[in-house]
Amino acid sequence: MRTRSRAALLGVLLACPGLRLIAQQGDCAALAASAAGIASGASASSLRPIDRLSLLARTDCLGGTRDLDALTKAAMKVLPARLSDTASRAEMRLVVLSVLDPVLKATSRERDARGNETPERALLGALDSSVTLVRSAVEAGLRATDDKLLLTGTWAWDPNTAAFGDLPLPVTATVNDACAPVTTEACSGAVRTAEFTLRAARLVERALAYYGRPFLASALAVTTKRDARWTAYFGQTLVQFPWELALNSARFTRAARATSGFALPPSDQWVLLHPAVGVEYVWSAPKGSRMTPAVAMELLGYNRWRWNAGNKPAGALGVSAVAAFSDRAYANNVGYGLLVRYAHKYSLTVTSRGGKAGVLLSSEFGTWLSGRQDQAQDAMRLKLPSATPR
Amino acid sequence: MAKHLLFLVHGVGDTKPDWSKPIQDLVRTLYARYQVAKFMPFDQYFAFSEINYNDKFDARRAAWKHAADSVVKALGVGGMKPEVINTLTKWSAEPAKDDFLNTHALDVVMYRFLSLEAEQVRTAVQEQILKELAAQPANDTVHWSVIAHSLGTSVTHDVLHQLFSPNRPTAWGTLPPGLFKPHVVMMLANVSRLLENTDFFGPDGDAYRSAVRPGSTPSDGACDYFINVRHECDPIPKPRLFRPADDWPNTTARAQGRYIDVTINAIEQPNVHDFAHYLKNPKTHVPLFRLLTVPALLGDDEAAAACQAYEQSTPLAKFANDAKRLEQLSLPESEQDWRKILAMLRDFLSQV
Repeated sequence: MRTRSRAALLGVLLACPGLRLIAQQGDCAALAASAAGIASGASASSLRPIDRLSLLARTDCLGGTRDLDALTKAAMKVLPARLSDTASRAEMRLVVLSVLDPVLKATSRERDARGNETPERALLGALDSSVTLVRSAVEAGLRATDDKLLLTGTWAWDPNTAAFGDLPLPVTATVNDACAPVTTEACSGAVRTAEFTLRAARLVERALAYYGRPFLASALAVTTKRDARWTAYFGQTLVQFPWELALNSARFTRAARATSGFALPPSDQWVLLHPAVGVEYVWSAPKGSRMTPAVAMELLGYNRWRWNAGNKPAGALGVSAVAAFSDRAYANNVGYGLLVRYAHKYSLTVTSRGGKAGVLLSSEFGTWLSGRQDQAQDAMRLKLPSATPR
Repeated sequence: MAKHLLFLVHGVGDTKPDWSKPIQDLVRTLYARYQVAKFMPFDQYFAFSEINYNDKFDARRAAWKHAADSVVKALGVGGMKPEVINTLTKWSAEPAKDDFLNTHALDVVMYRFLSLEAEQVRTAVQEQILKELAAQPANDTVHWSVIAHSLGTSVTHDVLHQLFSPNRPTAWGTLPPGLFKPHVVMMLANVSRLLENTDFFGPDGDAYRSAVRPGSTPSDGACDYFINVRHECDPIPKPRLFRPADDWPNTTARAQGRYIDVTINAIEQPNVHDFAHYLKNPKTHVPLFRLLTVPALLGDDEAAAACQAYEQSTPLAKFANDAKRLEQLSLPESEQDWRKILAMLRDFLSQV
């Protein structure tokens, strides 16, 4: 019964957005309390105050999405969860500044509220200086990679090292020194200062995450384009047999090495010992029997194209030296000739077999040509008066 | 709330979408065993993202088979049997046969030696990662880590190297390390040194020199922490073993504990190379869980008890024959002869 009441209460809390926030804040408080329980001996392990702070930081309770502190709410109210496609750098800068401003105001206020010559004042003073520098850098229009203070990693709290990524703020030392006996007032004060520091740093980190977001959008756009080209490279160009892929890979490797492994898909390919199926086209044969299967081998060839705006291969042309095989009574079985290819699949080969010329079409070309001829004949038939006797 | 993304990268094998579901379930189950789960319930703070690239290898095999089949069919229809065409087309149709050598070992060969194929794989993986990162809320830091296995370790290495190589123009799709680099990179059965391709990437493609190292500062390296796990009996990562010197990547990062080398030897099943088999060992997953949460929440006593329980459930004597068999397959760490390496791979895969 008691469990059901709790479940019902939780249901109400989760159903109402306003109450959900209270529930989240309650989660953080409960988390801190249970972690303190570990520290006070409720568990076999012992959680130091600095580890409890790390837990609150990791669980988004200090400047994160579960934090309902007034500073967090004030700073985060203008930061959008989605990056607008139309946001200019100037607009993004203004948004970031409106996050940093309340944080800077709070760090200055907290610093001034501490007594002179105390470790806590030193800590908050260093924090305030760092936030001031970040704000100046953003205001000056520096890019997210122009200064290490603008990197999110600099401000990220790492529970493993109990330190910020690259921010010389002695949070751990301040807390550990004050909390030699955990129960003292000095320890509580140091923990409150550390909580504030972690919260402020996290808010700066989140603002900088937004500031650096265009790098991610740009990297994704470039990679998506490259991926589309690779898909087209393997799906829309002439199929490469294993030995051809090895040959073209060797060329690609050589080209990529010059740029330390950064290369777009090629816009050409060599063709080597490429077996192909085609059709021998006989114009005089009856409809339905004009094409007969034939086999050829492209001994050596070359195809090239350009990539169009849609990342598809366009304007592809190729040429190959060909050996063609057929089972004919009136000519040599093997003929040699030249193949010309358009758009990777339409090819026409002119061969010579002991002086007798032959024409070999790729099956796609043959099908296309056959369709055109039938269309033409059908059109002609429509123009003639009906010859069917009544 | 933005969750910490855990990318799972598969190794060789006939993997299809959703291949990682059992791995995801396993990680959740393992995590739930520890006290940390009470403070940071897994699904509240973490989310999985599955990486797939096997379809690229499958597509190549299918294309070769299709092209070869059409030629063979035409040869039959026309009554023509030019031997050279017959032989070549048969070779091309072979890789589509569904056996271990062709389905698994060939992927390794294609990835290492056919750079066009490898680059398509890398680009596809890079896009999957970036797409997932870009989908995270813009008003929070993107937290992510990678758990890669076998061939996936090499793919992951190369992709991260391309993403985080310093001094590369962003026009190539690179990322600033201090903004978006992964927190933990975990390599299980790491073959990134065996498959490193300095012909393609230049000297920086060397697994010890590449950008893929834990950085002591945010702008350094391609991750915050690097966990390398090897099973003593697993013959696959042994040739050109990833075993960096004590000062890799630098003494500061090492002193900060940013590189964690784990060697395991408990055997629970004959296939010691298996992704899940690696993860089940507490020596593997405890360092990961610690780095993803708060290390103090998974204390030494709890970790030691988990290790003891696991080792008791996998008495070495029970698997003595498997250990002996695997020892016979093992090649020296200095082995570079690809014929021997492929033979070992084929023999191992055919036995498990």
